[in-house]
Amino acid sequence: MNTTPIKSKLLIIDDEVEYASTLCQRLQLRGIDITDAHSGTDGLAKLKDINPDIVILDLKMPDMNGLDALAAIKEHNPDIEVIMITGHGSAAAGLEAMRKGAFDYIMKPFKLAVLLEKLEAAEKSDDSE
Amino acid sequence: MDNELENEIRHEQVGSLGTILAGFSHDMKNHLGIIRESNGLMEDLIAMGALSNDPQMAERFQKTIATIEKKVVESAKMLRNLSSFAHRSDAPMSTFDLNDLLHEALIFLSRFARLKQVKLSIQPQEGMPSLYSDPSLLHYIIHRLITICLECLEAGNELSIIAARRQESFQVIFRLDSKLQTDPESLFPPILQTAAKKLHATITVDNSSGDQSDIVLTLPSELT
Repeated sequence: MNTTPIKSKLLIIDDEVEYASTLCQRLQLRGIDITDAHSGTDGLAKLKDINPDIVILDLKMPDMNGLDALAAIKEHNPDIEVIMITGHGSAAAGLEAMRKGAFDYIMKPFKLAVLLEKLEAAEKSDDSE
Repeated sequence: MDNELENEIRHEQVGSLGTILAGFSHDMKNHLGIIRESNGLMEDLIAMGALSNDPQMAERFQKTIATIEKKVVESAKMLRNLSSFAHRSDAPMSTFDLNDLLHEALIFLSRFARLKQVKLSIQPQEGMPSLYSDPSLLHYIIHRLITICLECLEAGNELSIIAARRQESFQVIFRLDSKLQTDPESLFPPILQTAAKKLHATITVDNSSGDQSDIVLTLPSELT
């Protein structure tokens, strides 16, 4: 297992506690600075404390729609790149999020390598701006 | 009960079934996500040397981890199909790819073909334009026709489902590798014929070539 070149500060917002915390542990083992939040409200609160470069955001949460959370993140800081996680069957929901400013989307369940590729791309995009 | 009300109830039933299936597959994807990440975490820990003093045990764990990952991949594929099937009922009419619909039907019915020991395969047509129709109703017709074909076949037979474009129409050919013995007229129940008519589609049988039979579903490319 290799550490990744990803230097960005990350926040994952997903109401599936076990999912978010396990994914968080795996990314931390690769040397990534990541914090997890388990609701939209918790996520937006942590956003202000942490000021992450990239947010991994679930599209469907009980307390807040992922698209509303995306809008709030972009309002807080338009430079934050957001990668949406969707459990929807088609790409439609992810594409809709991209139209609303998300950097990319990923469909659950995904391979960690795929997420790492998207994180690297988001980091490069952030650097070039 | 008049027909209009009956249709409305049926439409509501299909819609609520779609909602239930969409919710179910969404939850299952979350469970699979947790299984995959937990499995990945075990793999990470082994890679970091958690079982370095027992290489045999490490190898057994790696094999188990690989099996879990393989099953996650297969289950996710099935759930993706279930999701897109469930979301088909979101709108009564839509534009979709016929090849996708056939792949979906194949996944759902492959178990029944396997139980009957019939080899089921699909031959999609690349570059086929999208179809505008009622995807739920078309799914039902294709599902029913595959079931009818399976009933007509014996263990060891083969059923190929072929997508084709014919000028302004689309065809789905259900090719059986044995000659149909049943009277073609009696194969298709009236409800199936009615459903086909609703899509302006026709179902015909072609018994003319050698020792095989084709059941051909012909659809207009755009249902107006």
